[in-house]
Amino acid sequence: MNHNLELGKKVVDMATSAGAKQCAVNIDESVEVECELRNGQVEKLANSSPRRMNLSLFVDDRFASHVTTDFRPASLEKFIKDAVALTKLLEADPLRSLPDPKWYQGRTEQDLGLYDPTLETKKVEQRKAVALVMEQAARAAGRDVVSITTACSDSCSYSTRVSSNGFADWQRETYTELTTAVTLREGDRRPEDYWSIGKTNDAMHTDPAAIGRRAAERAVSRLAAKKVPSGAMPILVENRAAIKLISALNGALAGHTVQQKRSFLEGKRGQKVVSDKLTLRDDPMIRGAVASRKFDGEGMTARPFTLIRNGVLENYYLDWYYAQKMKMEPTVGGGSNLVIEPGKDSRESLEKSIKKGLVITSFIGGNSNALTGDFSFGVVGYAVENGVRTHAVAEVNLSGNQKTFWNQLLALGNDPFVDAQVRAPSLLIDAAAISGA
Amino acid sequence: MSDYSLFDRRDFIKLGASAAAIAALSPGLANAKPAANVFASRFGVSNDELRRTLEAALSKGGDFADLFFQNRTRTMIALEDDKVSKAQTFVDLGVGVRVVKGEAIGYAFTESLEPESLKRAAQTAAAIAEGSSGKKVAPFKVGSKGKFYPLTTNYADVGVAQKTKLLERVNQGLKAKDKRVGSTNITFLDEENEVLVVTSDGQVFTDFQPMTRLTASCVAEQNGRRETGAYNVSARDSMAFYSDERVQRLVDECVRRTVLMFEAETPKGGEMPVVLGAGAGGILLHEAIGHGMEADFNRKEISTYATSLNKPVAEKFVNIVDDATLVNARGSINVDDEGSAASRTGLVVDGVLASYLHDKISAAHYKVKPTGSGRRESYRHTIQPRMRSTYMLNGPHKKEEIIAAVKHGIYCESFSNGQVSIGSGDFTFFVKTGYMIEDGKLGRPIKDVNIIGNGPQTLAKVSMVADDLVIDEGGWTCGKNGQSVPVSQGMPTALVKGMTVGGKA
Repeated sequence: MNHNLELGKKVVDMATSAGAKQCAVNIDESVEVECELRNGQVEKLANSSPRRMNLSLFVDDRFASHVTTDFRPASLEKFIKDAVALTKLLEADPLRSLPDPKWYQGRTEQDLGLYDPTLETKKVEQRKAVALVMEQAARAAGRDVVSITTACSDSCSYSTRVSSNGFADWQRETYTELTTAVTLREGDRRPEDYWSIGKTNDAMHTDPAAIGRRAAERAVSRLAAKKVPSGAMPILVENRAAIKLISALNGALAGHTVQQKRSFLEGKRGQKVVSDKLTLRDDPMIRGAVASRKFDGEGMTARPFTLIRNGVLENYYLDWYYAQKMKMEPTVGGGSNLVIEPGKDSRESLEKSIKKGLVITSFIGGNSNALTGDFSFGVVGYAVENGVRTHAVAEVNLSGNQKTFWNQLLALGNDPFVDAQVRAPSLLIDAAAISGA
Repeated sequence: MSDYSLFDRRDFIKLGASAAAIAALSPGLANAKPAANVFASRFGVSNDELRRTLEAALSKGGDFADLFFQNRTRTMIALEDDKVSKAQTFVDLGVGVRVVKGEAIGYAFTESLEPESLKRAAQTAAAIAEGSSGKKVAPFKVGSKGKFYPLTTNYADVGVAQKTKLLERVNQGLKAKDKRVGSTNITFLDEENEVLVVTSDGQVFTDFQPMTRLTASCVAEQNGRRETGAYNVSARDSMAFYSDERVQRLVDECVRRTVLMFEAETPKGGEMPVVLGAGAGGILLHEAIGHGMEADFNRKEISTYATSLNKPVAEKFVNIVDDATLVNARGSINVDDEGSAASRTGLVVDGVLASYLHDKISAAHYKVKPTGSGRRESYRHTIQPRMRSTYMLNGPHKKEEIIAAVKHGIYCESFSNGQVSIGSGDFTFFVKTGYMIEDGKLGRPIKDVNIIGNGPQTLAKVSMVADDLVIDEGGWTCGKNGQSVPVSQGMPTALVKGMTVGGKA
């Protein structure tokens, strides 16, 4: 993929000649394959090679970014000329620049285990076979099945970055995702659920049948769902579902949100902001994890850092620009793997501790307000009494305010969901506000 | 939320077109005529190359194939910390090749329009069929289409200075409106999307689709407490869309919704009557019925509405349409992305479920005409039946009598997002601002609550509909299976007898 390194250097030269004081270009290219079956028959085969370049221009203290998929030489030349011209028309902002090159130093030499060459030669027939395994497992585990969709999709992505102040490197990553969605018949209703697992290496998919089975079991468990009465009650949020709650907290740590005074965590560095049971780290160095990387989107060397340690806020997500605006050291604009320090208890034992409450298996809709901390989400799961699931739950909301909600955290499970960027364990939370019947 | 989204749970750019080229494209397409050099002039691809590409697409025995060329340019300019110091431009050029065999799809796309790349994409998509060549490619004829977004100017001819001035005007307006307003974020977006559809049965369609959106958001502070609010407007229109009246409304609403929050509280949650305000209240329709009526979900029998066609689902005064033909609406399309004529589709007619939203594949399955609902995010994506502008028609009641009819409930004024589970029919929408209703009167403002209900049950509970239909001017984006498309929605004031409102325990 060195042709993109060459192209990148050429684009940087062209932009510099056209008048940019500084510039950087990210060129992303990938091969994406998707094989989808419904009820055992092929429904969709897709195979494509998307590419795009994103050119960041700094002209006379002015900044703009410009994206194109049109790589034809004549088009590129016009694109760069137009881009420089447009950038010049903006207002000056002296804080806009490329990162200080010292942040490019010390990239890991270590293999992060993100690239699986076997995916580049994988045949459609192999993907169909895996999809069929999931389909059969789902059918065996379901009942009153209306439809089973299984999909096997993978990609191989190459990201290249070249900057005018000395950065030139690329990284590649493969990703393979197996998905099963199951729909059942229940009168006029069609209860449905899905399960999917994404990995960086094909060999990490050790049990596709388990994905089919899990999807069917989740759909079956949605039968005969009903509301529960409103009230404050303990909830156990399953690891994968907990991503939504953690993401609400994480959103309030974004540098631009903080700098624009739109975060309830603004000005709280060094203060205890959530339960001391919570520790959040950004870790780009986890071998084989979906969001690991050598360098970030600005070329800055990827390194682990702590956002919240034992409930105390240590760092925000700060790219170069917002770090300059806030007169702080940059961390990273867009996070890599978000690690939530797990607890000691199993999900099962946490669930058993609930006298009368809910297990939340997924959320539907809702939103959170990063400035005030208010949130309200639709909930899907089960009612639990004396540690036992009594019935499926639907049409219920979970609401609260993050300033107080996180202090109700009783325990974290020992079961982080490692197949997502946010590696959340199950969370046991006391006295959560549930609105139902 | 500066970006409105309506993601369902199945998941969740600019052409340097000269004015002359546009003029050559737009008129005259109403009459079928040979498509001489449209392709060559717009995308640098000759008729012969198109034909050869379609032949390659059908080479394994596909029933039908189409090509979707797109050249989209988009410019975003933003004001932050009182400076217009950030811009982004996007150029998106490519072609998607689809081959249909039965109800199965082979798909490939390429960003290179070289003959070799087109051929490779076509051969890749062809592999959905496993035989040998059968169908021939018919002679090309340009088809007719609507004219639902007349324009006065093109964005390619609008200077940055004019857009910058608009942002600065909004910023000054926000600051002048209320002393409590502190930081502001304002974003202007324009887009010109040129598309060309060529099908193996010889149909050829072109369309030029403009889009613009202006979003204002601010933070206000009072006695150490901060609140934020936003408002946005969007249309398939030129700069003429930004009338003085509209810009003033954007400013006024953004500030009003922000400072209102100082008095707002989170209500006590539970099941209660819910009044949807006129306009953006159409989000209820989008989630409660719109997605469930998309025919792909019904063809696969995975929608809660799969067996409900021609059955009563609501009171007789309830009429719901999905409409591609509203002039300059964000959700309008002259022709859909597979070349079917744009239409206004009755989803619910006099309380009876009347029609699904069809693309070509689902229309063939149900043996009906396509409703012109086949849409896609871009050449990277395959066609799906999608909503356009979804709204309820006026009913027999008055807004005042609807509010007066509620003893204890809420009135929803503005919304940020929603989601639906197609099979169960359970859906949600998020209310940014509203009011309590106590004893038939609007009371204290409320904020940030999620509302959850079941589609068919909620439709049956629509007990009053007023005569004040408003099509919302906001920039709504609908997500389905990972694809985003612009949509509109509208609503007269209406009462749902009971839904579950999120709130305090």
